[in-house]
Amino acid sequence: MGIWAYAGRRLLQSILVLFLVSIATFALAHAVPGDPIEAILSERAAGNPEIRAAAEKRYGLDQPVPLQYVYYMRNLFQGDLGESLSTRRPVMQDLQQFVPGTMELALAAMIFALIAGIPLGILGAIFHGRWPDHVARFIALIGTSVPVFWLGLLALYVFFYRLQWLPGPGRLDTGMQPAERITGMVTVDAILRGNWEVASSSIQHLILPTIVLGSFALGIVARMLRSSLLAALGEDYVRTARAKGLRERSVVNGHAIRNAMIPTVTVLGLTFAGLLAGAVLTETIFSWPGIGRYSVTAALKLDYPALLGVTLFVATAYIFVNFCVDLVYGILDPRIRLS
Amino acid sequence: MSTDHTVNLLRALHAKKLNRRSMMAAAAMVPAAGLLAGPAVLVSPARSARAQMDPRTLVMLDNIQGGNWLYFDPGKMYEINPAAGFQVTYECLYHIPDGYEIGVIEPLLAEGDPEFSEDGLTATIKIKPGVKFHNSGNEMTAADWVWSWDRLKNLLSNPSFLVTDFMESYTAVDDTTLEIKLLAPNAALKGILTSLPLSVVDSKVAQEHGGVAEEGADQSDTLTDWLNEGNSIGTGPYLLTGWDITSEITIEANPDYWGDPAGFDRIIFRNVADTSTQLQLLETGEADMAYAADPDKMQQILDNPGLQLIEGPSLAYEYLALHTGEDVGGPLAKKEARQAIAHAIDYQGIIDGLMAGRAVRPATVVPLGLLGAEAVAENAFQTDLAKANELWAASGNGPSELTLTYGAGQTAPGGLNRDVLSAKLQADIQGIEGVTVKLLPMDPTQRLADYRAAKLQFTMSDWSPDYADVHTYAQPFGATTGAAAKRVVYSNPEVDELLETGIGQTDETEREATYVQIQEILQDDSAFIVEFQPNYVVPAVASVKGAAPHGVYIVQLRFATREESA
Repeated sequence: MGIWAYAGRRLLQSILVLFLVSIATFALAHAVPGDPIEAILSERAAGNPEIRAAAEKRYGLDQPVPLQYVYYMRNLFQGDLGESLSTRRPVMQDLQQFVPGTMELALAAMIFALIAGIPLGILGAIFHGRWPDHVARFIALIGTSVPVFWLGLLALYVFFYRLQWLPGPGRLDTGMQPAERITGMVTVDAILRGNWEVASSSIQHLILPTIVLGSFALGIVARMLRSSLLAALGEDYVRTARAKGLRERSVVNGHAIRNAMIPTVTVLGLTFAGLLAGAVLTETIFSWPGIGRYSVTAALKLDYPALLGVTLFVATAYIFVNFCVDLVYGILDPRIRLS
Repeated sequence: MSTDHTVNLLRALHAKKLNRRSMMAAAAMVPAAGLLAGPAVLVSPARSARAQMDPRTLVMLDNIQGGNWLYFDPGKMYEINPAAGFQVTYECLYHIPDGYEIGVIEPLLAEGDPEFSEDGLTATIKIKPGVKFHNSGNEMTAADWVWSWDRLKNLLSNPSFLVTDFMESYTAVDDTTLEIKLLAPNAALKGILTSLPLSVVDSKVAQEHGGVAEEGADQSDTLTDWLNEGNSIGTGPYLLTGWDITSEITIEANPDYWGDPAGFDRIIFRNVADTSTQLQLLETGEADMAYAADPDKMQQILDNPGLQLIEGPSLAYEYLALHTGEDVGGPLAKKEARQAIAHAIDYQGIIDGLMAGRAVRPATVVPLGLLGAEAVAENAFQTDLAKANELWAASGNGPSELTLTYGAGQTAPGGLNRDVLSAKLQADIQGIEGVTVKLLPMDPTQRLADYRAAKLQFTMSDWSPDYADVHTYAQPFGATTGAAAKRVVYSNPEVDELLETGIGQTDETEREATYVQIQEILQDDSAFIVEFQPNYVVPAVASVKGAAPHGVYIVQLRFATREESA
């Protein structure tokens, strides 16, 4: 099957999945007890029938639930996800503002996890049972087991408050305006616009949340790669390669790692999609405007338009990342065909 | 070298020559670039702190993205936290200049007090001439007030009741005279007119940007969108120049302000969610003020000579609502049972132990500082377990289980966690023989809905004012049709009658006597028990002077400036 036929089939499947996700989320959001209008109206306004009716009309809550869904889908096809009850802005506008923040942080965290996690995993496998392995496993264990909120608060306390080496929360220094928007990712936009002062500030602000968020992914990458590589190093083809007299480096790099990367890539894909779904604690501690905090605020206020918007985004992100992972399988191992 | 490599990769991609090896190399470049960029951006120790370097900028911290900063639009603004910036951007006819004296209301854009007709149904207010809007230089006239209030009314938003509940109509007699026809004589009018949604906006500019004041404005008005792009159309000493709820909101000094010039060139409200981090930013000098009102952090601030607490009485409080109906209230339907609970609570323990002493307690639902509250303060229920047991026995209830509901994870006014408070209340009330209290944390929205529907037997809630007047408390809690009273089906015809009398009384002494009588009845009926009235506490760096607490809007920045020598 060609790549385009495969992509087309996946696209159709994705549309069906998103449709089912929208129905499930809509039904769940409306099944939750509680009236969202109560959350947005004040004490006096809630008791005023005219104001209450106006609010219900504004958010479409004056219609039967099935009809609300039909209207929602009709508007969705026009790029309108409705108005958020918690921010009182169009959900599409909110997503355009919050998704790039999450994207920037998730990408940086993944890059950090790859840079640190892959060498750790390889070292752990090659020096199995020796001190580099112990160090690698210890770091991986710390990464996966230390609570994010604790690590975040500690990082801020040490590097911002005590040492003052790195800036505190937020994406830029106080009073600094971001570069004109291209992607919405402040660092990327500043670099693309050549605004180095803003770029420097944004990269500095990115360091601590990246390390905090990326530490979990780092642990997963290192542990998965180590165990996969250890398994691969015991395979017959590796023994054959060694018997042929290949150097150990060539055996590891040329034969074992590529095979060991397949399960690692699978986990990486899911981890990255998880990061895109939002990192509530990291975003809260570092006052990072991302969809994690946005979705939690929405959930607490029964803000179903925002919840639906976030759910559809996250579902799309998972589908897209899984698709990319499938493509990478083919690159890593030509025997795996797109089918 | 890496640049050459990148170019080669791109060329290969363009020529469709990219093989798997090249792809792997390209993928490897991404982390490599990150690794190389790392050292390049590592900062030198002791980074500069911008706010510290610019003494003419005030930086205030708040959890802006947390849902409090929705609008900077007088027609819709109903949240407390943005009020610190809002009240120096938009202006009302009257204001409370000094938060330490909550009851003192002075003219702001009005010239003197309202003049009432003999029947008390018409109020005439002269407005200050020569005041210009900061965005356009247009002169403010009475017509702008009429337009602003019409829009507020027809937006059908949270604060619309400020017009619809009190005013029949209002007209511009001439450019500087406003005439208000009231629905009923209203001694609280001056207090109501301090409420920020009743601020004046530049009607000409508003209409140019989608402002609609006529009926149907709730559907057709689009002015809010324009205002939320960082525009303001008020008369205040500052004007809005930046609005980004994900990072910061900026107001800058209005150079043509009609009154005393602004104390700062710029005030930045910066988004910082975590209260511990807010304090760290204060201590490192990167910010000047914060809304970090966590009682556990107060001592840390007081121990730091570079910081201060701006503290004053609030008009908010935490209270218990006890259902008075047999069907829902059960044992609480008996007045003696409610009074027993009022005697069982260790109020001083809550204030000293949980609120770090930064709270007081009014006797009833009228907070201290408002008319008549001091007069009845001495009669407040005292902690007396023997009395509580005696009253419970007198109620004839016998052993009973009460279900105390509260919003899970919520904080009470003053920053006290309700999980902690509920445990203390449970322990106190269970001191009454035969009484057990079951704690039921609920989803906050669901709890509010159930409370409003009068379905809760015994619940924890809070109240914050719309304006500074005794009636805005006595009416909702005392009147049969009051917003809070309906939730516990409380009704006392004597209170209803007194409320009707009190709101129309213009003589202060007579009015106080009426509201004292109302409070005495409310206390005796005990449908609501106030646990504490917190102080509003705003941590700030020591160099900030003139920032005062505000009983309704937490903090008043109108007179805030920075001490030069600091």
